[in-house]
Amino acid sequence: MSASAPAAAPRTGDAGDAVLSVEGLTVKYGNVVALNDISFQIPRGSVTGLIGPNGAGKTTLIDALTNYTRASAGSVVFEREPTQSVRAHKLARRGLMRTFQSVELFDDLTVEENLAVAAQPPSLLGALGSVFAGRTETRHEDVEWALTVTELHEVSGRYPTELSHGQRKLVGVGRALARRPSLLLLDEPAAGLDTAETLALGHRLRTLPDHGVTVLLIDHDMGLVLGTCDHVMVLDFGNLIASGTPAEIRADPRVVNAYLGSSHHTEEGGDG
Amino acid sequence: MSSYILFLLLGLGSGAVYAVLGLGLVLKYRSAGVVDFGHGAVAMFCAYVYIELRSSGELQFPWIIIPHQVRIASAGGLGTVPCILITLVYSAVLGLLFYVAVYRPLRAAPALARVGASIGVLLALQTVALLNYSTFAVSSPPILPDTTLHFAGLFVPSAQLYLAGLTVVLGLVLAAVYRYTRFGVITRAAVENERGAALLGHSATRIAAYNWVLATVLAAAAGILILPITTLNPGTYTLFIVPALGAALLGRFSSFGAVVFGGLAIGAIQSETVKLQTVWTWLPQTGLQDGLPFIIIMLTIIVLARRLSARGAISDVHNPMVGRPSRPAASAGGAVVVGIVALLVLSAQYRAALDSSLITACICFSVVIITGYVGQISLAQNGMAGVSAFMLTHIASSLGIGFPFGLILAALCAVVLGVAVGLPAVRVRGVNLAVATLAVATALDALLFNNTSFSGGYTGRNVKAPHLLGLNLGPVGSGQNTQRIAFGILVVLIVAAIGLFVARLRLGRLGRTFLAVRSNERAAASVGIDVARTKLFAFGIAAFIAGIGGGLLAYQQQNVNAATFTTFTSLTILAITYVGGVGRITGAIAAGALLSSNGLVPTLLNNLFNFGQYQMLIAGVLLTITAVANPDGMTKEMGAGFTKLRRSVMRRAGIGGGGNGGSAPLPPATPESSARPPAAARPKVAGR
Repeated sequence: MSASAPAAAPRTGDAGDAVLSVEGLTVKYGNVVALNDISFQIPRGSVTGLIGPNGAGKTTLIDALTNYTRASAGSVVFEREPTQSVRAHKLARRGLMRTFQSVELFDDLTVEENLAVAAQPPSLLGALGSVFAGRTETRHEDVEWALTVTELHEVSGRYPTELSHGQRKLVGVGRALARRPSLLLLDEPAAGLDTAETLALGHRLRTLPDHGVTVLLIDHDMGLVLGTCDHVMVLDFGNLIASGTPAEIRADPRVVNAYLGSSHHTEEGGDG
Repeated sequence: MSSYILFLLLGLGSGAVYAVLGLGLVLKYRSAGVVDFGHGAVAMFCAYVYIELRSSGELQFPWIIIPHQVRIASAGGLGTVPCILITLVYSAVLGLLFYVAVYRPLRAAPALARVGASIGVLLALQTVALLNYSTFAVSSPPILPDTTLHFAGLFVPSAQLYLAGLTVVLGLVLAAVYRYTRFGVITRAAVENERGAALLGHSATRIAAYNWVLATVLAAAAGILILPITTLNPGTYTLFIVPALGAALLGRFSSFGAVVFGGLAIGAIQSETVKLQTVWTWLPQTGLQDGLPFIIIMLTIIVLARRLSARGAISDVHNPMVGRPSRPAASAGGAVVVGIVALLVLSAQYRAALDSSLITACICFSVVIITGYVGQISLAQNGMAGVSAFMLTHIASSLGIGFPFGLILAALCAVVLGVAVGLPAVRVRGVNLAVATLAVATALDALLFNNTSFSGGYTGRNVKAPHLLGLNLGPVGSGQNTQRIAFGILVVLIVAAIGLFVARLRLGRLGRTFLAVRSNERAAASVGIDVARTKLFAFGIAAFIAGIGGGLLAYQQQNVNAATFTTFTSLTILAITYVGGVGRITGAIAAGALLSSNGLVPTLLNNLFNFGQYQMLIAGVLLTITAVANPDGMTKEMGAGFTKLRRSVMRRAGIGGGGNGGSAPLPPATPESSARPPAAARPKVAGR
């Protein structure tokens, strides 16, 4: 396939099978174009990767997809419904979950509670009713599952501030999983992890499609992204410059020039 | 027509004070990152220093019991100019002391601690002034030339115009200083990046201290210059802070010009409403002047919300700790037993004190929910209790609905108000929300509680005793039978039920949702929480609880009047809850029993040492100390002690229930149950 076609969709999967499809997405901060006319689709059941050097617009893309940032132009369709002007928490309830580069856990809640708050039904009145109901809550099955996937059982009663950075990252992933998302957007989950932790994370992410979770993985770590993903997109200065299988991306001279040539700096200077 | 203009011009005097206080607020905020709610109180105290010096030659100090005045001149007093100079130097020292002792240590503290500390200073200074100078209004001989100017066909007293002119000049000078001089540039640099400025060899502390002193001196000057055209009393001067905050908000805590304009405009419009009230008789005849800053603050927040971002300070994210009640049902049951036994044992006076403690604890529970669990600073909770208390009497007299439905209806009225108070919280947070809720508290005080048809004026409104199934549950029976045990039992049961509710709420879905919002609003939205609705919901629940507390207070006092629910009482409620422990059931109970003016321990101390008059002062001082030194509140330490005690009692008695009057947090025996260690809190840049 032509790696230079920015609007190219990953090869497998057609439009009808896409969890998310993005058309002409553009984000401007004042005069700065952070994302320029981005189009792609994410097939259901895939693990798709997005790589790009610092400042390429990766986090902006996640923010725009989840309506944390307003797009200047373009359209996003999630599960066949447009997401325009849907508030961020509503998108989360529909099953579009994200993590944050800077983790952003609920430090006042235990690990288990962090996950439970994502898994619980959103109704406030229902929650008020349960205060009167007088039953002790049992662990939600989705929380149980998310704890298993992230292997956080041992620390489920601890507070996030007591955990290592790598564990905190995992809690962030677990919290997003606990809502059983149909699409999970991961913002640099491996930044700050050591090699072994990164490898383990990659293995866990590979299993998610079997549980109905499609993944978009954004990371610095070339090894993680190329080793884990079915498809990889490359972002550079707000433009999608390449898209294809990991093998194709490795071989693409444009990617090598734009990104891999400088990958040593970005990998080692990861800002997690 | 000309009389309209005359009233506008007359308002420039107080407008000038608002503007100068507003400028001081901006200086303090920009240099030290603190919105100083005590700024007006400092101006008030310095005005007393000046006036006492002028009239009796004695220098005043902000303390009580030990002699608070020292003679430095003959009894006839000093001349105007030396008095002003001495007072300004005095204010500089006072400002420096407050900065070093209180505000400097709070540089990296969460918004609640900073707001709490400055409210502590406000309450303390206000009470010291009340105790030392009483509420007698004092006036002063003229300072600025006091002639009548002939101006565009009007005869205008000159002092107001001079004051306004001075204020405009001051605003221009400050703007120029901060724009062009080295000092101003360094201040701005230190605000942007404290560490960066430090690397260049500028101490942010020293810069902030200079600015703080300057702001305090300006406040003192404004306080002195306004004396001849107003009257000095502790309360009104202290509450100049509200219009001053309005002016500072209009200037977004940065533009000196806008602050000056805003302050003068608020003063002029306030004065104009006096005129308009005579023309448009449908206008409320009381409180409109004090309600105006509230309207301005609300409008500013609605329009400028996005641009009222917090200052980019380094802040550790350590919010006050939230307790994890263990076995709330057993604790509540134990509390009921202990309460009823106490009622049977205690004398009438202490039964009343127990009732008061529990009722105050109930109102403090509302702070635990809104400020402890959801992290929203509300300075209007006692106002909500007040609305419920008055509505209780109206519902009884107009609709004929008595206990218990009247109480519930009255509390639901408070809910309506509470949700309305919560609306600003959807758009702003932290200190800006504190400003908005303070404005609400003052507006309630001015427009509602001082409105005779609503509150019954001076005599207040009488309350019918609660009856249920023919039983009199009121505090007073026939003849000498006061502080009946039946009423005490009613209070014990209701407050225990609410305490149980607050504890169970913490442990369930709703508590998790609340704490998630408090921890991180962005992340809360990412897991599907509607942050705005959650806040409003919490404000509603908190208002209901405060409303029940207000209703019980009305039943206890048998008569409600405005004095019970002034702005200062709302500040005090936040203060004592914060001192007790803002995230804990036991914190609210400690606040009621140990710190409320009619609580058990204060009553005991009052019998021993005539202690009651110092309650607000002690609450204020403790609040400041708590904010600086122990933001989790005193029950954090007590919690561990309680648990130990309860365990040993249980071991000896071999029973499973605990009766510690509340619910202590789990002991740090296992890692699963240990509370979050504050030391591990990661530094984080605030104001995303």
